Amino acid sequence: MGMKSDIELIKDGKRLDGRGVNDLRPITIKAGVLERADGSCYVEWGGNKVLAAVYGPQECLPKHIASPHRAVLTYRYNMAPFSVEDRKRPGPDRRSIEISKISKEALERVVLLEKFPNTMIKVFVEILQADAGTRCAALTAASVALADAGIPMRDLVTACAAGKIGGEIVLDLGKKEDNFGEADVPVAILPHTKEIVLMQMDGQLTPEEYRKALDLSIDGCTKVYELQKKALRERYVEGVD
Amino acid sequence: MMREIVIPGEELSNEKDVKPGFGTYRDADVIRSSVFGVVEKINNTIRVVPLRGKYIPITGDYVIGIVTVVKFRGCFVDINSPYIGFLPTMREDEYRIGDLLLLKIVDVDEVYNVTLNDPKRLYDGKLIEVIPVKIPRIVGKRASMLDILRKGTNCKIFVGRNGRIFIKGTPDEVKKAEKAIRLIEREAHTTGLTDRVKAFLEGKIKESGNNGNEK
Amino acid sequence: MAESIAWEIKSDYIHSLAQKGIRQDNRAMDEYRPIEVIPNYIPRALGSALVRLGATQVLAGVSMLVGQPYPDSPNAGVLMTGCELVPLASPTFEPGPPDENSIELARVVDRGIRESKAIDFEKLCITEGEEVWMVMLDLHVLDYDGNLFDAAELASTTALWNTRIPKYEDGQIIREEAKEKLPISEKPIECTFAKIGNTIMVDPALEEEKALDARVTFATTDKILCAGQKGGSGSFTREEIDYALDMAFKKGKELRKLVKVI
Repeated sequence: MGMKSDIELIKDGKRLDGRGVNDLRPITIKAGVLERADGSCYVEWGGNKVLAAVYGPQECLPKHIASPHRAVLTYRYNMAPFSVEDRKRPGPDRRSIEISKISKEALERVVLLEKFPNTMIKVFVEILQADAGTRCAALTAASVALADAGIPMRDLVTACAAGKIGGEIVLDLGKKEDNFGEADVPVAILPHTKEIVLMQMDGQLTPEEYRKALDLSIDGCTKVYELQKKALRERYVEGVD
Repeated sequence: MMREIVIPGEELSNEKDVKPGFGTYRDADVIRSSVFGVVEKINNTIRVVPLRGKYIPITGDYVIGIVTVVKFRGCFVDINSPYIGFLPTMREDEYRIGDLLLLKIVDVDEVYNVTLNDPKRLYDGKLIEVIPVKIPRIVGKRASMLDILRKGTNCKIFVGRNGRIFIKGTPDEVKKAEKAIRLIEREAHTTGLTDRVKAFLEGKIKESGNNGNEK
Repeated sequence: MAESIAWEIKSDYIHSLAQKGIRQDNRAMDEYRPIEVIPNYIPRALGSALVRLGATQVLAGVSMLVGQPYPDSPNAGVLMTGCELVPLASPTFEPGPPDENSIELARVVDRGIRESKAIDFEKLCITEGEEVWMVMLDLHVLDYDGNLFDAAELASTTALWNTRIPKYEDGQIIREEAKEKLPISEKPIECTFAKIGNTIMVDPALEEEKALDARVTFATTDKILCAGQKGGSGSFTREEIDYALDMAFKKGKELRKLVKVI
């Protein structure tokens, strides 16, 4: 965010990749893509390639973290070393740990954890290729994978970012926009109640710009939700009677 | 034809006299689904049968378990669930680690301590595991599907509600039974399944094409 | 275990109070606990500040090193923020590598400072592409009684405003001749809100933090929002976020006055 550049990110309402201010990048979502996981999902979002897997509910290990009132949810956001141009050192870094924490908290709002005391539900997300907006793509995939695993949830969680580039508030920042733009606001909501379960902001915005970005990202989430629904329904093709 | 599939959070009904059943929850004036599954409405109750998911023990269920720990007062039994079963015994040497048993769940407390009883040893056959939520389809109404499977394959088939099935028969018969069970597992969310299973067992269709396959 | 059960009972009480519009220490919903800011608390450090927010105590210290710039910004200095939840501050803090809570704290404080553009990083360049000043901001939580975010940001901003750059000559850092002030212009402040039931309150004390459904933090300068972070396993409505945002600007102005420069 905020790196200096001569690139004009937006001109006459058109962005570098030809999108308008309110356009998402192309997104495809596929549910049930892994053999061994209890639930899984693959998301392509612009140049992002993201794979999510869910295991559980299963016996809670180590035992001392178990709760007699609810299942323990874990979330691991992990970037593959080759997912970015300069090789990323394998394993969790500070950024991944923070993203994992807030994403877990977002999902805790929807998963009916109290149904499975003393167990754990594990969510793993691998970023195979990163192209800005990975945390939103990851959370979107994770929530489809949880549903695919048959885990009871209040709703899905749907994520999308908005930001500011070249003085304008736009939806779903691409990589150059993320590097050279002025602000980024990733958001996740429950599609039915529009409750906000994840929100981060960095960059520079006036309060009015922030409100506009928040509203725009919520609109984006609503569009992403339709794709999540479609992916789950397509998991089971219509039978021939 | 396929039965209606819903995802978590989707509205199922806003009628006042409809009651929320399994896999649903009430949200102010509407009933919503809490699982990804197939909608069923029985009388005034609406429920959603999940398409996948782990086995959660219920008192009265028959399950197939594997002894994992033997203690002085009983053994711990893996029942293909996040929760472990306990089978009380009189002597320490009644069962050995690895014994395969058909058991009845006689008690489940609020933190899911599961007590088992009625053990029956299973041996000399093949153990297969299916998605536990598919078991009711494999058994069928009043065991109708299971009867078809048994008659059509000449196998002895023991079904655990926890997704484990034990099949005894000649190698060819066992193979045929397993294929028929996998067919039901894949197509459990579709209608007309009984006829397709019959046709398969009679050799009229091969292992089913893409009819309602999980993609 | 016993401790976590006790917390649940305390949380129920906090929730029932919140429903009646009361806080356990009788504060108003938009009222901070008493705040004390002591700049240069550690005179040996190049910059430091201690903040007491109620019983919470956070010490921020600044060290300066000379290092290589990042390849994508060869003429800019570097800010690195670390945080240790030292075990003396709470029975729940364990020694060892930073956990997710301390990492989140350090990163949210870091974003507040960095994105406010308070520090003029280009002025921290010594030789383009080769040597730049690295501002090492370290947070030490000494007593944990809730709302570390706001205390840590206030301590950090104060410490940075009181930081002096050592003399750098012939590849040597001469600490004794640290006279030049760190090039800093803005005073970023963070304000954190807890949602308990349907009540939004500023500056959650420990009991409130344990009871909260959701938490949101906004970092602001006078007119600009520069960082935001939602936490906790609950959710906010759009209106609640609006309220917290406006309040963050309002409270930010009050807290900014506490940043003393010696």
